Amino acid sequence: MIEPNDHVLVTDQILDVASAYSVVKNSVINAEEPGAVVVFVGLVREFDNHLSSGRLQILRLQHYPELTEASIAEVIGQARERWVLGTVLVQHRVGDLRPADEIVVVAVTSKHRAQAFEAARFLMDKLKTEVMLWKRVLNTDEAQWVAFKDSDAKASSAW
Amino acid sequence: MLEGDLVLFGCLSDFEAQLGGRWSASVSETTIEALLSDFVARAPEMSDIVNSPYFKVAINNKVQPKTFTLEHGDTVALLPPVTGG
Repeated sequence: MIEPNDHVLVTDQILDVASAYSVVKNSVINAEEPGAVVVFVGLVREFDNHLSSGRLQILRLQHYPELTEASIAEVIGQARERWVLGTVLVQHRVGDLRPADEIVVVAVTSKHRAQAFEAARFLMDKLKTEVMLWKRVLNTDEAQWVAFKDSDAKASSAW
Repeated sequence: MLEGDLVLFGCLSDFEAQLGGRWSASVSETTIEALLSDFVARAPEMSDIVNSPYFKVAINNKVQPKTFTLEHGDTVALLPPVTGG
């Protein structure tokens, strides 16, 4: 279960990393024992092997609006069962993105850095296998759905 | 006769033309598993996706097991393995 100070956002607007960091930093300052903030930002890569040219112009992220935020919240709940965490923030873009745009921001606070690092990695691994999002890569010549990766499945199931 | 809306996500939306936006079953009771068998019979290319351990089905916006019994009017959403993050 997520805590009241956790933040989940699925949006078609540009992600503001500085603002996201401020949110979790302020929560750390307000906590009794501030210790660590880990922030991970995922970016759109220009090169993608699903396209014959290898270069994408648009990454289109489809989601299931009725379940996306709920599935993110569920993953946060799983993280909270494993580690003692302060604030957890997950923001994910949907819609059309371009190379170098931020796809996802994950921020975790905890008393100690090891827990925050581990929880952030856990959240990213689970986001890739459990949250209702699907990528499609496009350029002027073609469009392809991004295939589910066995490596993502292994990373997720290793927890 | 049972029927309801069918919603396809991700790569399964490529099968929109074959499956349409509705599901139906000419029986008094059916399960997700039986419905999926019918879909695969109509679109065999779906087989690998539907048989993936990461494939899910949501009924009325709630993920359900393949043994779930469908009711008339249920909205069925087919969710291929996700690729977010």
